Order: sequence, then C-alpha cells, then structure tokens
Amino acid sequence: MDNKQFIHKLLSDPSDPQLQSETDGECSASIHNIQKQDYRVRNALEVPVPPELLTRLLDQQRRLEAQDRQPSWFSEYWKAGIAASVAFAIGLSFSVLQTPAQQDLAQYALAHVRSEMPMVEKMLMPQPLDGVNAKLAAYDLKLNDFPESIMFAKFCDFNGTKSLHLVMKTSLGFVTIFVVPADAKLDFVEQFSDPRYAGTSLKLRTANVVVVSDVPAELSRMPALVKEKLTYSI
Amino acid sequence: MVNAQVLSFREPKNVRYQRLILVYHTDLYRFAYWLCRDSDLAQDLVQDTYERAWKSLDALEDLNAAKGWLFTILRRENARRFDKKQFKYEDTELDEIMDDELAGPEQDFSDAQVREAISALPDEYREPLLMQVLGGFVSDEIAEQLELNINTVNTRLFRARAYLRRFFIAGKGD
Repeated sequence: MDNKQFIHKLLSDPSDPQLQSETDGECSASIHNIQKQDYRVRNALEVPVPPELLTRLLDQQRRLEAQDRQPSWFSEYWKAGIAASVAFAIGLSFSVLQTPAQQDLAQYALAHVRSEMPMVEKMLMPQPLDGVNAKLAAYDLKLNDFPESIMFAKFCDFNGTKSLHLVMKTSLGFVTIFVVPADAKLDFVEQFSDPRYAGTSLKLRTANVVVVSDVPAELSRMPALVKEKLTYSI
Repeated sequence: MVNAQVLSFREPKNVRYQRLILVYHTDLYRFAYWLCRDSDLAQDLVQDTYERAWKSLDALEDLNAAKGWLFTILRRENARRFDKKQFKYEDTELDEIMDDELAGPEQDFSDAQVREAISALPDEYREPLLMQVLGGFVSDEIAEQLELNINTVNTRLFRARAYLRRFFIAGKGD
C-alpha cells in the first residue's frame, strides 16, 4: 500500500482494525495518533441525553400511530395533545390556562407571565442569537440583530399551540415576548393590561407577537423595536 | 453500519419504528446537539426527524441504511431551521495532504478543550467529523449523505483533525 492509499484508508475509517497490520512503523504512529485523538473527542462529545427525550419520542409514536388510524379531522385533537406534552417536557406546568373561559391572546399572555415569571427568573441565562433564530424559524421568522440581551428562549404551550417564550433583560427590567402561530385559535387583542402588567400584540404574516412587561417605559419602545428587528426567514 | 437484526421488513411498522427510536435516538441527539449546541433545539430536531421518518418509513428500502437515512433527515431539518446555505468552496485534493501532519507529536487535552475546539470548528469540517467520530460512518457513507465526492470528504476530515491538533497546541484555532 503506497502513501496515498494509506492516507485515504486512514481518513476513510481510522478505526479499521486491518490498518495496523498493513502498515509499517512510521504509519503506525499516524494511526495511533488519529485513533487516540478520535477516542478523546468521542468521549468529550458524548453529552448526557435528556431522559425526557425518549418519553417525547414514544409519545410522538403513539400520536402518529393514532393519526394513521383516524380520519384526518381527528388529528386536530392530537395537535393539542402533543403541544401539551412538549410543555410538560420542558417543565412548564401551567394549569391556569386550562380554563376554557380564556380565549384571547391577552388573557393567555397575562396569565402565562403571572404564573411563570417567578420560575423563569431563576432560569435566565444569555441565549445566543443563532439559537433563538433556530427556534424562530418554526414561525418563519428571524432576528437579524437585537440590541437587548435575550435571557430565556423556550417553546411553551399556548392554548394547545406550540409557541415561543422569550424574555429580554433591559436596563429597566424584563420584557416577555410570546411568538404565537397565526393559526392559533385565540382572539387577537392589540392593547391589554392587568394591575401589574401591560402588553401589546403585533400581527405578523406568520405569527402574532405579544409583548408583555411591568415596565411602562419598555412597553412604549419594545413593540416597535421587535417589529423592526423581526424579519421573515422565508 | 447497522446490524441487520435492528430491523426486519417482516416486523410491523410500529415495531420497526420503535427499534429505530431505541437504537438511534442517543446518537441522533448528540449529533444534533453538536450541530446546534442547544439541548432544547437538539431534542426538537430529533423529534422532527423521527416524525418525518414515520411518514417515510415504508420508502426505506435498504434496512442497513437506516442510520444514515435518519442522520440525513436530521441534517436537512437542521439546515432548514438555521437557513443554512450549502457549502460552496474549493477543497484541495488529498494529494496535498502530508502524512507527517498525521504523525506529529502526541497531544494531551481536556474534554473542555475538545468541546471548545469542536464549537470553533467551521461547519463544513465539523459535520463530517461528527458523522465519523460520533456516528461511526466511513467516508464513502459520509460522502453519499453530504452529496460530496470522497476526496473532498477525506480532505475535510483531515483538515478537521488538523484544526483540532493546532487548537490543542496553540490553545486556539487558526
């Protein structure tokens, strides 16, 4: 085996046990180095797999099997089911939203912030923009840049619809943003408030964006900023 | 790659599918994690991958190709989410690779250094390296999945490893 063949075989499958027997001493050093490096790289990259992933996949299988057995109209009921399981998987329990009387964006957004903000504040950490954009891509949206720190970005259940929950930390406090699919069965309400929080909803082509905060100064500028920075990814 | 006992066409679809979940979800999650470096997103990618796999499972004609098929679905889903362009640039051919670069002095490095180096690796080098080191694919399988010729894949695998070695030596990449 000449040098070119050796390199080709080595790069093609460094773990091939036959390599060692077909080469001389100098080539053995290359094999040893590359195998050792790969072994260390593999060990370092074997991150723990979240145990809830398997549960999610098996739940999804049950849903898909049921969908295949049912007429198409039945699948609408399963969409609510899988969204609920996603919310459960990320640790958000939000029983207050199960109340059937709450049927508009404002009520859901306010109830969600009141219920979740104390827990969310303990989970804040800077979120890279490309990771946030990967989640926004589910709504065909992206942020080209954003001047405020995004400290929380997780999918959540919004009346049975998978929505994105973002939290920005500004110099004055926190601003919560929900990205809710345009086809969510929730009435659009542009301006709303409760004794503590207030909010503004924006209607985009692919989603409704709800901005909520208890800092009036942020509410006066953030909706326009979000509208300016959010663009369509498709 | 795949043990033929993992799947059998004689088994019902739901049994075959569940085997694919049990056998490959760990590899797929880790591959997804190192592509996007976000646990929530990696889980979503794996879930979306398996949802697409369910819809197309009957079209999977070669059971031994199941793992590569799942990796390909995941890569495409990741590219769609990140709106990534296909890699388009010239690679030098394998002839230019010097064997002595592979036989250099041994390096020692920590898990944290490896993770930092992998994160810093350009996508076009990280992806084939992850497929080989984590996925266990040989370069002709990677070439098929990435729709590249095998010399290009080998060149990228070489460069990825050389980049890591330089990173470990210098404490950072080029």
